[in-house]
Amino acid sequence: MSCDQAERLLQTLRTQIPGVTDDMLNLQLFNVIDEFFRRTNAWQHYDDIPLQENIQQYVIPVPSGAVIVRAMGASHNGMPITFQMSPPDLVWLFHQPDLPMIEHPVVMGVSLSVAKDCMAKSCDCWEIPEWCWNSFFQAWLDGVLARFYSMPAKPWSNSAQAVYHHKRFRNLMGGHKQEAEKGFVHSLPGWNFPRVGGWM
Amino acid sequence: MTALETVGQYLKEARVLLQDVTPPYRYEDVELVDCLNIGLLEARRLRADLFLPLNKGIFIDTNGTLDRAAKVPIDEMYRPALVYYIVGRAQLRDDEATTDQRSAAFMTKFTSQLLVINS
Repeated sequence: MSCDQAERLLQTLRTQIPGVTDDMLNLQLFNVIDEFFRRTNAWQHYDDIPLQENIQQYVIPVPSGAVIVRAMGASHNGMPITFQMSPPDLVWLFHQPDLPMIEHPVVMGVSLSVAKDCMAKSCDCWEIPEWCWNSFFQAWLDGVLARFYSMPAKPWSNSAQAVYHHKRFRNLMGGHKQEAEKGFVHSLPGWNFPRVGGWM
Repeated sequence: MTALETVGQYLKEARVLLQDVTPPYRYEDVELVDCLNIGLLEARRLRADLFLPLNKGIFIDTNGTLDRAAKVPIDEMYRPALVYYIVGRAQLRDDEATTDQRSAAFMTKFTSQLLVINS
């Protein structure tokens, strides 16, 4: 994570939630970011998994500071393959790899969220890619504000503001989920000639 | 030095408001630290978020020699509120030098500073 980007968000929040402590801000920001990534699949990671003959179970490589939310898909030599995931990071291929198959790796796509270890360590850097802080700034801001304003018996409690920011958070999250599904490409055609799957 | 960081700084500030700065004191150090500990309990009840992570101890040890350099575990924004609690709590004691109204005012000030922005 770029701490400068996080600091911009934290500075904004501190001015909008008077009386809040940094520990509380970090906790709620973490919760919002975790919810955001788990609902939107916006943080995706693709990695090669080298195959071994007759081995069906593999461990998915996970970037530091992240946890796998769900698998987005897997392909082998350009073709989708069937598999099942066993959380947190095991993948089971439905077909046993034979000798010709192990010449190519499986390309595994997963969606990620922030690892809770970071909260336990109280580290400043959650290792979220910098582009996320730029792209999702407004959504995370609204998400945190909604959570704070909806708390009971706090100096910043404000039910009207909570409703407003929660709606904005939900709307922005929905938009980002659609963007992520389209690979962050604007106005993708909804349908392609069905070489493999048909609908994009 | 940061204001109101250690037990000694809290005691000094509380004694100013209690008008008890010259020995022999009307309020012993240990008595005031007991008030401080009860204030931390009250703050923990009203604002658990001030004591994150919640699995750590918050009390000042009053057994044996009092450690005046011990840090009081509360965010700096809420340190004045704790002083008001110490003073209000101490003045709850039946004492000709204090009044119930003054004590109640300090206790109310403590609560409102924790729960209301414009307090």
